[in-house]
Amino acid sequence: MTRATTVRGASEPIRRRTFLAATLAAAAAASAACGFGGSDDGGSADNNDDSGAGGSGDEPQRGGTLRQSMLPVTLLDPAVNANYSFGQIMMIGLWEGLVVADANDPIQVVPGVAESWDISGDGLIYTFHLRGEARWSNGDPVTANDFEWNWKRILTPGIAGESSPSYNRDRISVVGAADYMNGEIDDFSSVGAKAIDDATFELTLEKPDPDFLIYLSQFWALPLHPATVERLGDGWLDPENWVSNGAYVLDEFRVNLGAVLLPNDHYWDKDNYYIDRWEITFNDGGTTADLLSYQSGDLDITGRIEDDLEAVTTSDVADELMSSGTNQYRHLIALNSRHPALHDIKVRKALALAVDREALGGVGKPAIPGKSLVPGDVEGSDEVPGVEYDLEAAQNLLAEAGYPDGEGMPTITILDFQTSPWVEAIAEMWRKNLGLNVVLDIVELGVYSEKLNVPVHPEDYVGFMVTNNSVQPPTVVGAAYNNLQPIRTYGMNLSPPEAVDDILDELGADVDTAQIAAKLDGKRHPEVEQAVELAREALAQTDPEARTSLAIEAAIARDESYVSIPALWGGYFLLVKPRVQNLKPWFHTSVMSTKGVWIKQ
Amino acid sequence: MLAYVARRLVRLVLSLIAVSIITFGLLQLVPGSFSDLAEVGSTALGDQTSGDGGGDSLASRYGDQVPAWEQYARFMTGLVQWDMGPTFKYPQSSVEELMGEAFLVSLSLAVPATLLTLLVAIPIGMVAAVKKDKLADYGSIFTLTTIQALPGYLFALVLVLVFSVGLGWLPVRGWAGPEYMVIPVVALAVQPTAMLARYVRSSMLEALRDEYVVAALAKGGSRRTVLVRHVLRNSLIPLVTVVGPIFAALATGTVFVEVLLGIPGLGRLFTLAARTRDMPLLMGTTLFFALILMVMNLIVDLVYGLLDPRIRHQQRTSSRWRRPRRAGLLPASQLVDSRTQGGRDDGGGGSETPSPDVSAADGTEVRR
Repeated sequence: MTRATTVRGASEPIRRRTFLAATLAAAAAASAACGFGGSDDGGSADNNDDSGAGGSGDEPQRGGTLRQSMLPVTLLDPAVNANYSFGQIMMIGLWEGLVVADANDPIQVVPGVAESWDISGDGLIYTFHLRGEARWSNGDPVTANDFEWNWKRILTPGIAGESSPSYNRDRISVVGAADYMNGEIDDFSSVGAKAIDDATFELTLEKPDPDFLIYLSQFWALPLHPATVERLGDGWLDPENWVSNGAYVLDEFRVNLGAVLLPNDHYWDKDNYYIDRWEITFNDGGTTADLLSYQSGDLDITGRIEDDLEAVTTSDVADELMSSGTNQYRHLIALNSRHPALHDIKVRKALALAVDREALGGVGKPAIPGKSLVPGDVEGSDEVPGVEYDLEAAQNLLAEAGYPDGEGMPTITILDFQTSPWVEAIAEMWRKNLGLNVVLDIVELGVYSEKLNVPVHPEDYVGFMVTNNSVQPPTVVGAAYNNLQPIRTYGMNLSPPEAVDDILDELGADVDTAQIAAKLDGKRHPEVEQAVELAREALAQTDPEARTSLAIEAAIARDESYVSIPALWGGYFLLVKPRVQNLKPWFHTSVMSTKGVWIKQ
Repeated sequence: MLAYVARRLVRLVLSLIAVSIITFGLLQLVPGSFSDLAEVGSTALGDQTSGDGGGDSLASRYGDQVPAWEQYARFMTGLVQWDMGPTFKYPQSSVEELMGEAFLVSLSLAVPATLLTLLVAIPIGMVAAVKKDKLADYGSIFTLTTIQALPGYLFALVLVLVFSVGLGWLPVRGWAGPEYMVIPVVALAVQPTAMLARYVRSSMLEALRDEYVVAALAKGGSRRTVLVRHVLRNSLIPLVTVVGPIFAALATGTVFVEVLLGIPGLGRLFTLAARTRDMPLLMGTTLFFALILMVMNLIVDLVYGLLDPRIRHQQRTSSRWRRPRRAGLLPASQLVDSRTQGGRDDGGGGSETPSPDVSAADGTEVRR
């Protein structure tokens, strides 16, 4: 049993779900103690292994069923940006792109359909040499033309009947791609994605991008089988007609229920995939249900635990929790208010310095203390110092700002749609350390989203929103994109209320915050403006080294504008049964691959 | 009869339109839109994939810019043509496809649950009525009242704890074979069983008091024959009104049990739609719920009419309400009218034409 280290106030009510989970866990433990315990590793693993190794050592064994639970996957189409990580876990298994993220070093890629590739001296032209043995699951060879066809598909807006393309035109700069997508050019031959011959595919960039191959390993660059899609239209999704080029084929897919993936016999690298059957269950019923299934041996892997990690870390399977590297950060983002307090950088800095992150680590498990907006496993994060806990400095800053011991400070509100112990802990720290009045405003998700759309909150609503963001790709340049992310009027768009009012006057009252945010350039607080400018400069740089160092400056500027208060770092968390061997979660949105994963029988 | 059915069908369609307007109106008033929630929800789970795209969302098919009335009109046109289009959440499936699959699942739980309810409730109710004021009666009524007051999902949890987590006989959750049906069917049947058993009991008690029972016994019929052939048969007729709504309620899915046990039925689809503000899916499921309930009620009323001539009479006379009533029919229909006016408070269903015997049964409860 892992003991939970909580620093909750005694008066704080126990959460219903926590209570439920605890009760169930206690009852489960009691019944197990009574000798009722079920078999630990479920019964469904097939015993048809052909390794004949007699279960010895670390020699991978073939066979077995991997049973995994995830949030319902609503859409399986690489062209559409509508998926949570869970859809991507499946897609990465079903298809294979030119390159594949390396489970051992996720910042690198390894060959996929492309056996090798050359990058031109100026870093602009990527020539991929496709492996001859790459096959679709119907036996057709995978050709460069298939990739060209798919590039055209993902760049044609609405081709999948959707308006949410997965190709990220802001980040990936293939020549002509953005123009083609925006409808500015009609001729696909002027786009820098070309099949030179059957086995050679070429991508041309507008500017060098050291992260390009990592991007290319993501779900959006996976290829559909052109002939099947052309012949069947939407029918290609039907498991009966399924053709893909990855390690698995889709045998069954039922909305809201689950999917079954079976090995693709034509896959060139099938020897490195050991599982016979991959059963996926969709669960939108919450962590408690999943945890129970996992504990009773119905599941081997679940990632359906993010909304109540606390229940997992306090359960008896806490030590089976696996984490990818940290590229996510939980933080409080300052909301724009008419009250001047948070518009003063001294106040924001005081609040940031008054957070004891080591203590937060105790209540935020499995996340770890996070002092910066560039999490620890992001490449280049060691160059970003972040914020240290310094109570004395915090108190002095608050006094300098004209609020000695918190006198005259408005009530600080923390907006969220769920309760989290670490947020409660920060509120408590501010109350105790700075003498502030802090309240939590926990609202329903819809109300929460509406409150985020308020351009400027009234004078009596001063505070922060709670959120979790990630750095993608996990490099400091990826972090620089986050300086430009916010499309609303809080955080990196924190600006004097008058500036927002001017824009509102200009645009009329009936505009959304994204339209206001788009006009905020030059009107934000100077320290925020600087962080935005530095990020823009970094991303415009063509020289990779200059780009990285500017990105680091941008990250530091963002930390030091204190519009976001970093609290914790995390990655993707999976509960994995010990019988599942060699699974390595990575910090890409696709979370994991089953390559090399085997089941101990 | 035909005129009656036609009139009911017109009313049914009008009710459906009203339901659709209310649902759509409420959905407009609820804070948050599908796209906003998708964005917020994705960061909540540590996922940022939807955050780094162009910011467009699938909901823009219906579009935030499209005026609400037009969205409504578009959906309703689709509904009439039975082509409601894709949902926001599941763009690769249409609303009718999703509902069709989910309804089959819910139905395959509802039928066994209803049967189980009947099989258990009727004997318990009978025994309680026959052993009135004895331990068997008090004990069963006390238990049943307690059970009726507890929510069904609680039973599901207890069953999961005992049979899945504890004994390991049944799976915790999911939907992959007959063994996955046991817990939900039992959990779903518990509450209706309690209700129905109480109902059978009072109905039987009422029938036992009738003079024909005395007559049958006086004629020399054995107690068992009288109970089964006369009392039970007569007291079961009003049950039709209760079983219909019970079945409808089970077939439209019971939200908690389905979500808790991971069953891909209508209830789960409905909560998902409501939670994510998925307009087409929510409209589709709500209207479907309403339709099933209304159709079940209609069927119940028709069946009841077949079983009980007095009701048939009422249906016929009220469908000819413009004509002057024949003198000979007046007392009977008046009697029926006056007895139905009070409605029913013990059924928990939604039948629009409560049976006279039901209110009589209630009367028994009060007198007791």
